[in-house]
Amino acid sequence: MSDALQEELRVHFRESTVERVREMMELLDALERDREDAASLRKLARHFHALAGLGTTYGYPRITELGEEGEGSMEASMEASSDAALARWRALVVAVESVLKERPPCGPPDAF
Amino acid sequence: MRVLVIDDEEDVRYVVRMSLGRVGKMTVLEASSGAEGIARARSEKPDFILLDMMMPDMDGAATFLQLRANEETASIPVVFLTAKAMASEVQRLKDLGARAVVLKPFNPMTLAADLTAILEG
Repeated sequence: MSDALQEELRVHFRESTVERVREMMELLDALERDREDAASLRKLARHFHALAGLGTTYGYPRITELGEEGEGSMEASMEASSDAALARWRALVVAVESVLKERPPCGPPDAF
Repeated sequence: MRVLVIDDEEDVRYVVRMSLGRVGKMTVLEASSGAEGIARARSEKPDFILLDMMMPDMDGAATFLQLRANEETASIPVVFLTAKAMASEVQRLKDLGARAVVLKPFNPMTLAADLTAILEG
């Protein structure tokens, strides 16, 4: 049962994270237009925070690492986004998308 | 055993529902905000509450204090869910009266057993 459950969890996470990545890209586009868009900064930070907390739980420890990196980076620049910060955040979101496209991890979570 | 999970993230509620429901054979009730959680706690009287710390509008600590202030919910054990980055908050949450703190990411295969041990301990 645990293998089947883990696969169900991974399928759910892949689907929901595809949608999350799409929203994160839209937020990054909004920040390109307005570097001080506080609402978009807050929402983007919450997405990175969620990825950090969820990735390993769903069998994707690399996504937890990417989320933690994004969360840490955003804490350092919450008032406005520089070109370098925006590029870094976009690269992290692209990396999350890439992890989702890789062959899914097998076996039980081992990163706790 | 009936548990109420209060978390604004649907992905957290989903994995808790699968983990505690399927693995732990518990009945999982859900709320997506502190205000909704308080209302469900009052109406459903769960055996314990799993409460996210970082939520918009009313965060976990504020939700917890309101649960404690209401005599209908004051005695329901509360276990906080919080991110690794907020581990320094653990002692503060216990000082508030939390039964325990579970750090995210958590293992969905062992969450039910971990919570059972906490509640029986």
